[in-house]
Amino acid sequence: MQMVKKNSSITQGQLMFFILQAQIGVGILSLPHVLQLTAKGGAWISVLFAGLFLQLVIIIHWALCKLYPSDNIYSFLPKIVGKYLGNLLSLIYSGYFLFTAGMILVRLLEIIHKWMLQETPKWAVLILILVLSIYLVRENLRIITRFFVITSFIIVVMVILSLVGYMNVDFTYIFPITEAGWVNILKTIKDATPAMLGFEILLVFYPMVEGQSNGKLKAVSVANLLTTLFYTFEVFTSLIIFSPEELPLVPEPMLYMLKAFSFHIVDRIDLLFLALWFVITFTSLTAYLYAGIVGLGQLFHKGQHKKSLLYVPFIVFLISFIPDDTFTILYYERMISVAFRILIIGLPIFFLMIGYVRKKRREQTI
Amino acid sequence: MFFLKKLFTNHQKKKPSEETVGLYSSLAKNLNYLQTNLSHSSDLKWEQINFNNKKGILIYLESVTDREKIEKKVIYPLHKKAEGVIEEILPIAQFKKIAHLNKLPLLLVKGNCILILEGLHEAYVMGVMPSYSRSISEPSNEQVVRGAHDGFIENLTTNLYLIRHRIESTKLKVHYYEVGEITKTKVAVLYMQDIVNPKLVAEVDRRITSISTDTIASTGIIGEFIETSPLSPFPQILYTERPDRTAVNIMEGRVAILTEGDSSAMILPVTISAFYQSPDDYNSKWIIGSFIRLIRLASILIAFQLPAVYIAVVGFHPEILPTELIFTVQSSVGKVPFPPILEAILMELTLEVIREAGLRLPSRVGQTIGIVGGLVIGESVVRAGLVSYPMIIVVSLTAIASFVVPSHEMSTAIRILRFPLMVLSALFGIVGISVGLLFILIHLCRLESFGTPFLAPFSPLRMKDLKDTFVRFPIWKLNQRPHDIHPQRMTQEDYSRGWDADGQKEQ
Amino acid sequence: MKKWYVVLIGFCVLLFLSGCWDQELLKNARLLSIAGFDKASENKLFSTYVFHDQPMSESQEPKDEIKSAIGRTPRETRDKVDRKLSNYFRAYKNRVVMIGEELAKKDIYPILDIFYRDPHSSLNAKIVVAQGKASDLLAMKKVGNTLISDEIPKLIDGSEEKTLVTAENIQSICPVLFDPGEDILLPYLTKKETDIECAQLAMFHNRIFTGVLNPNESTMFLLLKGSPGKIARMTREEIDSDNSSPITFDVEKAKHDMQVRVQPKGKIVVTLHADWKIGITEYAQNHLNEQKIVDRLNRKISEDMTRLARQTIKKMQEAQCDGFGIGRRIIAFHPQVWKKMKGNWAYHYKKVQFKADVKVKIIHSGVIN
Repeated sequence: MQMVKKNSSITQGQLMFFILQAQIGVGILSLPHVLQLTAKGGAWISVLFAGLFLQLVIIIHWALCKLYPSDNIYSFLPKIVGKYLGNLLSLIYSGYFLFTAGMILVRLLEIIHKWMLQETPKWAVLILILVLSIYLVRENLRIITRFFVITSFIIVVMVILSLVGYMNVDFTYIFPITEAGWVNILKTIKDATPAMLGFEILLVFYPMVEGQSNGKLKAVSVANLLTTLFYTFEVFTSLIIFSPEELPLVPEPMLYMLKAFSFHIVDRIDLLFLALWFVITFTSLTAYLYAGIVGLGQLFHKGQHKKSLLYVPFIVFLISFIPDDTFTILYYERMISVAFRILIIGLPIFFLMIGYVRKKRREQTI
Repeated sequence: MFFLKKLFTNHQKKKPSEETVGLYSSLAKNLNYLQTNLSHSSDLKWEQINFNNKKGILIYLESVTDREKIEKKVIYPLHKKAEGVIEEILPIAQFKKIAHLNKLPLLLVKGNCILILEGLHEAYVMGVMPSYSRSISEPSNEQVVRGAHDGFIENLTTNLYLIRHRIESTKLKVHYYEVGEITKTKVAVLYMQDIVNPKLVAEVDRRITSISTDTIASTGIIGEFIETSPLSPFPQILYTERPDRTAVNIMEGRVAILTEGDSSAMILPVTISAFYQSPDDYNSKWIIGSFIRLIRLASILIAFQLPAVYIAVVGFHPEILPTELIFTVQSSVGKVPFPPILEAILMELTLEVIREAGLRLPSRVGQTIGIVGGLVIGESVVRAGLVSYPMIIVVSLTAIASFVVPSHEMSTAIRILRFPLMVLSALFGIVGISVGLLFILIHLCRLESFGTPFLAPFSPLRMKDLKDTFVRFPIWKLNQRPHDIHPQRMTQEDYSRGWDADGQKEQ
Repeated sequence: MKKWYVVLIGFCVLLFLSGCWDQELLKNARLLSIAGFDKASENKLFSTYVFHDQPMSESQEPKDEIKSAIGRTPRETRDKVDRKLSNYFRAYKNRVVMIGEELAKKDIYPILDIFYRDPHSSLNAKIVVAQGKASDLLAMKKVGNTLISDEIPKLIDGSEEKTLVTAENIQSICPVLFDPGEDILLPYLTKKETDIECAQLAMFHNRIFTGVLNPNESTMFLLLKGSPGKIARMTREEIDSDNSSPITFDVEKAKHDMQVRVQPKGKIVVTLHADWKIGITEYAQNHLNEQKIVDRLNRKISEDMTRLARQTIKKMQEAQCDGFGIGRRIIAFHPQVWKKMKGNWAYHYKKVQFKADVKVKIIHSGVIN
């Protein structure tokens, strides 16, 4: 199946922005809070380790994609494990992407509800965001990437806004760094990784990127590096602004710290930050949504992903409309975390081994 | 659905090709044929002429010919010589011999006079068009402080002269098209043969030749026919009446389209930055030019976001206002009976009405409208407690800011988009504004003007081209043409400041 | 396909038009300016709320509306006041939270919880302790010709700039409130006949009000802590000189250095060293061009300031107020020591040995000598 349409391929620089935008997303607001619970003052080190760990996963994914340079995951899975199992797995991957998109939406709605629109019914905001994402996801990869690239400047603005927090910091809050012990710091990696997901989209878009495979790895690695640095910065900032006993009480420290600052024309910079964060999260949402519907399009609609948009919005609506309390959300998060371990870490290693053996065998027969 | 389709689709009928008709030997028959084919129009005149001892008839449409020219250059020489070879006698440059009678009516309409001699099978066609045109003056909607003060007029030849005069190059190519089944409007496509992207020229050619319409009234109509996304509110073609702007754009590798009878040129493909730039930016020093450009950008943002932001603040998130400000705003908002969105729509619509009213009226009455509309309504509407002062300030600021946008098309697009943003903001506050802006941004990402992404060079990102977008770098730093149009030659400037020994190091 | 989307979008727009759910009109808000809390009988809370009302027309004067209620929690009193109020009670522009002395002697966090929890609340409101009852101060309604809702915030702002009180707001005290290794100091408002003064600091220990520093001590604390305002001015007697005369000086540049050391036996020694460059703003004895006099003054003022610093620290130790964050340093750099002292930090803090000295140098003396 020749998937690469000439007018929908993207360059490696664009791939970098794409992965960056997919990675930085919903987790950023609550990451410092989550990590500090177990890693204490060393939370920022956990982020660095998580980045390092994900880099290994990225290399596995890249190696897997490299075996089938002109196929994406939905078309090489049947080649590796056989047609029926392969298509089933494709469906599962597609479902995973859609489910993750739904999960992002759940968190997005939760935060909007908590911080901005207390009275507005959930379905109204949900429909609004879904219509917006459909409008983007209908397009081809190139146009989506264009949107991602232009909204990337927001990350810079977010960093600048966070710098405002440095007016009132106490560096001693992070000491002693290893208060929780190295074991806990390493354990926290598993809490940090969900916030940094997004690179696995490479499995879907690898063949649509121009250029050599090494360059693609470089692009994804740079994106991962930037994400890690950005997250480390934000976590570090939160750690030195909030005292170790206060942080467990504040689930969204990044927003909370900005709430108190006032400039002469605007108070409440947190609302501005929230609006920016909305865009960043929206890009992650659409990245996953697009990855999901590309799969459905390839499985059921002969590669026309637009057609699946007739029913996908309803599925995503349901996924994100159902959870109405924190515990369901936590249950969802656990599911994603399990799916991540199996689908993103476990299976790719397995596929890589099979694919490698097949390739060797093919070379021998030739 | 079928009914709707029937309502909206265009039925394209192929016209039957005309049969060729030879000249009749009888003069009366010929004349009769022409009269019939010109709908017995009253301005068709004819005169009897004898030449070479043959009876002849000179036919012309008095409305499109210069009577004096006919007298001097046709009738007088023919009378004087009375015989000889016609081609040698008549001092006329545009001279043709035509054997087909059916071609003559059209030639008459185009300002030719026709001489038919009895018994001959060819008619003599002589161009005697008058040259009426207004003088070259500065376009009133694109004035600059300093720089060239000429503008296009309604005559294509003059307009072409204005451009050729600026680009005295053999590589400047003019390609004529005749568009309009009936009007046969002359359309000229201009580009630099050695710079322009050939694919672009082919695409323009493809789109222009596919136009099948009876009339072409103006450049704008062609624009609407060939635009990539006609449903978008944003203009994807730059209209300008300035020859200098057109010439500069042609030199960047873009294509200009001029139409007979219209004083504006279309430039394509363009990107979003073309719509907030003005030739003035290049006429002044680069720091000043950049500053003014940033002001214009800020105005664009104000023009289409300010009312929405105000509604969100007053109606959803008043806590954004700092303490000192909030009391001032509150005291003014307090007695207004409407929600902010109604207030805003009311005032914005009033403003648009005043603007439109002022536009159509002669300038003296226009001033009165300005006073009545601006001062009287503005003041009394607040006094009456219908609208608050901050809202008046917001609306006036928006109006002023929207006038700053140099392109009229862009300014209109922004004015229109303000309203959906206001509605979204009234429903969801800041979230609504975010969503609205994202809608617009996604739309802009989808837009392409003749294959060029509308948002270039921001996205796809190209650092080198950013030099001439938000700010204008010094001219000697702009070594390359914009990349978005894929010109054949990238370099446009090289080392002009080579004389500067210190500057050399910098370069 | 396209038409299908048009229908969908049209449908959504129709749905949305049914309501602006979160509309929060500014014109319907009664804006709270100052919230005062006092102790009432039976563990109840007496809240006084000052609303600032801006008049609709320009000819009228702005007014303050003061309402009060008794309840168990701030939220309850707020709701009770809301019942007595036209339009809606809105606290998002609250500028000052004032806590009465008696109430502050209990944990103050329950009073502040409502401000931390509400997404709309203004976290940059000042928080102060009132001498006596907050309601008494607020009942003044006007100080001179200024409304109390305007007077108190500006008074506090001014005192912050004059290095008289700490520049704290609800958000900035929050990390410290939760930190076992540091204590807060809040501005302490006193009523002086018809005026209100803001020049002292209320010391806290673990969220409980324990004592007051006088104006000079407050300034000294802020300078030692390294958070001076724009001006830091002090007037002192030039002690033990033949013809003692008052001298006023501004601290122009204050360098400070604090070192916390734990001695092997577990004794904590804190060295506080301050280096000030001062300018004389008033000194009727003149002759500040003579090296000898300046040297003598430098020495005298240094001695005096060192004395003041020691006095301040002693007072703080007595009040168990760890305003310098000694505990914080120990947590961060001597976690093992902290583990032992954690349970009884107040006791250990009192035993901390402070070695404070202030060195002063006159760098200018105005336009005359």
